Amino acid sequence: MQRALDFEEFASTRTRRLFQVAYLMCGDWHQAQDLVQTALAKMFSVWPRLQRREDEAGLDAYARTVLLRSYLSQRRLKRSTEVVLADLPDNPQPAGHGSDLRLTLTAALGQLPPRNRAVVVLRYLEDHSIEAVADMMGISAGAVKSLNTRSLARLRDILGDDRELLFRL
Amino acid sequence: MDIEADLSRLLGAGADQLNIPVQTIVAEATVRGRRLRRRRRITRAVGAAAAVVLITGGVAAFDPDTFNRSQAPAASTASPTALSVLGPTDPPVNGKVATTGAGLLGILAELLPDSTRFTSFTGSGFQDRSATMRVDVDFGDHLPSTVTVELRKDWVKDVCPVGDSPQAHACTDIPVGELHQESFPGNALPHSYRFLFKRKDGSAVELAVYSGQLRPAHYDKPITQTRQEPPQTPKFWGDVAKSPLWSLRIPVDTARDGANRASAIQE
Repeated sequence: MQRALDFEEFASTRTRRLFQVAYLMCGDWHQAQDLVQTALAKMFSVWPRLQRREDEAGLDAYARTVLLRSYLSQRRLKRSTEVVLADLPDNPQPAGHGSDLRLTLTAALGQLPPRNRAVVVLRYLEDHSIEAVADMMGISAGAVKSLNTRSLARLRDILGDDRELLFRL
Repeated sequence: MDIEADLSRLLGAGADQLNIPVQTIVAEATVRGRRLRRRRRITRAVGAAAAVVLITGGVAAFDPDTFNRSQAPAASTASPTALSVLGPTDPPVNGKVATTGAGLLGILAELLPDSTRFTSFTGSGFQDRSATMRVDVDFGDHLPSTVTVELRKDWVKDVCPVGDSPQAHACTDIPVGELHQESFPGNALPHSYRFLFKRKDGSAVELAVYSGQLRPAHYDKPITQTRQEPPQTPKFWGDVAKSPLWSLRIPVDTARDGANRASAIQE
């Protein structure tokens, strides 16, 4: 029989990944920390029920959904203090110089609207299907496809000629 | 080149570079979760009481059983203890097994003086990928202090953004093979140390030692300060963090010792 995870074990083993997702979505280290804490706190408050109803995969999906909705809800409420970087570095460092990688990436993502950014992160970092992303975001698969297509086009424009250089890192 | 093909790799690399304070996040989330749960229960109880008042205030007959049920505080469901992570989780290969949280305790016990007393253990592990644990140590002065250890297989490179952004301040470049030490930041925690050691094989050890007992699940007071400074010296803990004994595959004896200790002291 599969043993039930206790909350601390679940949180300890998932925090790293949740933080990565949150950081790439919001682009701010401190906000990402707050988002993960919020998502985990919400799970903690209903943990006995979650444990009874969900297997590990279900708990993971639940965590993603809470994280995502917390992020979108924060954005909607305009509570975010995120500083969007207006400009990308003029000259990304040549290959082997990874110091600007994260900055460049978060700056590019930061120019996408929140829902687009969430779709990109869930699709390309987390490797979720269109349907899974639609389920998490509470929108149709068609809407996710549309957001995805627009996001990729926008990223192409933002990264421009730097893209080849960036992807070589 | 198709952007889709590269985006996954790029996002993955960007995410791997983050330096994440896992234990701090878990501790804070637990505190906030408890607060949230308590608020929800109060709201539910108030709602139930209000409903009872409405019903009993009218002509309806008063049913003591219903009243009692409504007034009763929500039953707390004890979360099951997770004991199966304590011991070796797979058949030994070359006399070694995957390191669990208890395995980390076994390693720590080998690195600390024999007289060290361990209490209040909790830990877990992802086979051959990562393991984490929290335990209180007492070096004989009856002033227990929490030590947390996290061992990770995979990190790429800790690269920080340049400039004056919050990200740059929050991030620390840590060279391979060099011990990084910092005082534990903020969050009203008493003075503590945190050590990060990244090895050439790609694995990383993160060790924190507090000047008190960390209890993330305690609502009001996630840490109880027991001393002004963490026990021992920073160099002592630095040497512990740098020990080659930290490994995701450990000898069966070490795993067994850790399991025995853990089962005796688990929270």
